[in-house]
Amino acid sequence: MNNQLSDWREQALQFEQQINRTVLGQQQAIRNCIISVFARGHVLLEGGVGVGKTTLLRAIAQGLGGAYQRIEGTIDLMPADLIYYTYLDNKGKPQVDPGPLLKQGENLATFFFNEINRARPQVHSLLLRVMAERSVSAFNQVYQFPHIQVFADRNRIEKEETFELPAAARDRFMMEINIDMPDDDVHLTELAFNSRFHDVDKLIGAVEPGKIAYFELNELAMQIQQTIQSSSALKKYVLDLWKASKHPEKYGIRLSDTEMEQLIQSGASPRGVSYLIRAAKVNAWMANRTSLLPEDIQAVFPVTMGHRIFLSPVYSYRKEQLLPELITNILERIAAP
Amino acid sequence: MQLVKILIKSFFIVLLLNACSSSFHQPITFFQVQSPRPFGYVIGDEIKRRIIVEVRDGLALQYRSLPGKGEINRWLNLKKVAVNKIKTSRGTRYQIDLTYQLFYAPLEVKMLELPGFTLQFRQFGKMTDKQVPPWYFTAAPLRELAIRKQDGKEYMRPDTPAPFLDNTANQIRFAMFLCIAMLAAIYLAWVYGLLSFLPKYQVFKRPCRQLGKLSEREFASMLNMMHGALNQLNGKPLFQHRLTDFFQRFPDYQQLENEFRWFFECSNRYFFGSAKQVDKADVERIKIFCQHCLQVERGQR
Repeated sequence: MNNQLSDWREQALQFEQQINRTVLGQQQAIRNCIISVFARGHVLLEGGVGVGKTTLLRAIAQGLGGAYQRIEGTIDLMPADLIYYTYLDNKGKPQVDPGPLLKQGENLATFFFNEINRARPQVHSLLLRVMAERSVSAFNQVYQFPHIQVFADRNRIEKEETFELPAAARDRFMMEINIDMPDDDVHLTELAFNSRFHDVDKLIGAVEPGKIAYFELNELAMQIQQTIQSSSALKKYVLDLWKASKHPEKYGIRLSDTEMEQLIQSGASPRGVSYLIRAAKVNAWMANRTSLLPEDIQAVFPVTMGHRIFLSPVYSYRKEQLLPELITNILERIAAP
Repeated sequence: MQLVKILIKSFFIVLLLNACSSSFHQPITFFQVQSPRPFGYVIGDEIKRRIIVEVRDGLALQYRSLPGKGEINRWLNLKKVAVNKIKTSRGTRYQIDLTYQLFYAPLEVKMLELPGFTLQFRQFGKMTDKQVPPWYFTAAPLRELAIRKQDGKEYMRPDTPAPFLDNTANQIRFAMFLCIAMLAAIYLAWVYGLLSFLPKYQVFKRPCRQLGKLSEREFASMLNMMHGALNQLNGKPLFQHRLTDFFQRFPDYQQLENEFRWFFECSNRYFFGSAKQVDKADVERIKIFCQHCLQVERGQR
C-alpha cells in the first residue's frame, strides 16, 4: 500500500476514534458510516427516537468539513422546496433564493435528509437522481454535486403519515444501518450523567472540523478501489453469497416455519453487489490489507445487502425477524473456500 | 250316530273334569334338577348341582329349607349356595346353584349319594313342600390300583405330561422383537456416548492420511482438505475472524491457537492474496498442524 493511502488510513482511524468519543456505544455503526464515506456511498440510518442518529451524522459532517445542509422530511414537502424558496424581501419584492441543495453549489459535501419517510414519493424521486447522478436540473441548467454524500434517517417507531421508500430508492443507498440503544451499562451511565453529552452543539463542536478533506475523497476512494485486489476464490465466494440471497434453499439454508422456495421475492441487485464490494474494499483498506478477504465481505454484508433482499408478501410481516436470520445463515453456511 | 254323540259328550265331560282338576292350581309349575356326569370323581373334585323351580305368584321360597353351607357329612362339604330369583309372567323362577366338594378317597370305584332335601314354599301361612331327590354318582380312587411294593415302597405314577402347543411363530416373533430392541438399545447407547470402547469417528484421521500423500503441487487441495475438516469440526464454515468463538466452543484446541492463525493466514495468502508461490516448509507445517489436531481430538495432547 502506498504512503498516501497509509496516511489516509491513519487519518480515517483517527476520525473514527473522534466520532466514537462523540457518540458512545455505536462502534459498529460508526465503522460502517466511515466505510461509506470512503466508499462514496449514501447511507440510510434507521433507529428509535433519541438514540443518536442525528448526532452521529452531524459529527461526521463536522469531521468531513465542506458544506453541510439538512432538510426535515414533512408530508407537505415538495421537490421544489429542496431546490429553491421564494419570499418577499424587505422592499416587498418577490425573491427566489436557492434551496438547501443548490445553496452551496459544488461544495455541498453532506446532505442530511431527516425523517425521509415523512416526505412524499415526488421528493424521493428527486433524491433518487441526486444520489445516483450527483446532479439536479433546475432553472434550465444542470447543477453538479461531485462531493455530495446523502445521509438519511428514518424513524422506526412511527408508521403513520409516512411513505415507505420504494425499492428503487432504497437500492440507491449503499448501506442501511440500524442504530440501536447501547447495551453497555457503562455507556448508558455515561450518556445519562456526563454533562458533556447533554449539550449536543458543544459536543459536535468538539469534533475537529475538516479532519478529512472532503474534496479529496473521490480520488482517494478510486485509489482504494484500484489498490485492493480480489482473487478468483473470493469472487466465487461473493458469487455464492449473491446467489444465496436469491435462492437460499439451493445452499441448504433453512429458516424455521418458512417455505424457503417461496421466501424471496427479489434478491440483491448487481448495483447492490457492486456496493458490497466497494464497501468491503474500504474495510480491507482500513485493516491495512491490499487484498480482499471473506471477513471483509462478511463485515459489510448485512448493512449492504439487508435492504436489498425483498421477501414475498406472505412473509413480509415477519421481515424484522426473518431477514437478520437469513443473512446470518447465508454468512454461516457458505464456505470460502 | 248315537255312539258318536256319546263319545263327543264323554270327551267334553273329561275335558271339563280335567279343567276342574287340581293341576291348574299346582303351586309349583316347573321343577328341574340339573346334575353333572355321575361318574369319574376323585377326592377334591367339586360337584355342581342346579335346581330350577318356577312357582305361582304369592309363593315364596323358604331359604332356611336349603341345605346350609358347611359339612354335610364326613366326606361331603357344601361350599357354595347361590339363589337367583327372577320374576316371570307366571310367577317366580328360582335358580338354586349348589357347589359340593368331595372328600372321599375310595380304594376302588364306589357309588356315593348326594343327599336329597325338601324345598319349602310359603303362601299365606300355608307351606308347600317340594322334594329334591338324592343323586348318585361314582367316585374313583386317586391311587393306582396296581401298587408295586419293590423295596418296600409304593409310588405314585405321574400323569403323562401334556403335549406343548406349537409356539414356533411366537418364538420367531419374540426373537425378532428382541433383535429390534437390542439394536435400538445399541443405537441409544451409541448416541449417548456409552460405547466408549468402540473406535470413534475422528474428523482429522482421514485428512491426515490423505495429506501425507499430497505434494506441494497440490497445495490448494491440501488447504481445502484442512478447511473441510475444520468446517466439519465447527459444524459450519470456520473463518479466521471467528476463531475466538471457535476456541470458546472447542477449548481443547486453544493450545494450537498459533498454528490455527498461521494456517488461516497461509490460506488467505494463497487463496485471496497475490502471492501464489508455495513454500515447501508450509506443506510440512500443514501436515504437522493436522497431526496436532488429530492428537487433540484423540485426547493425546
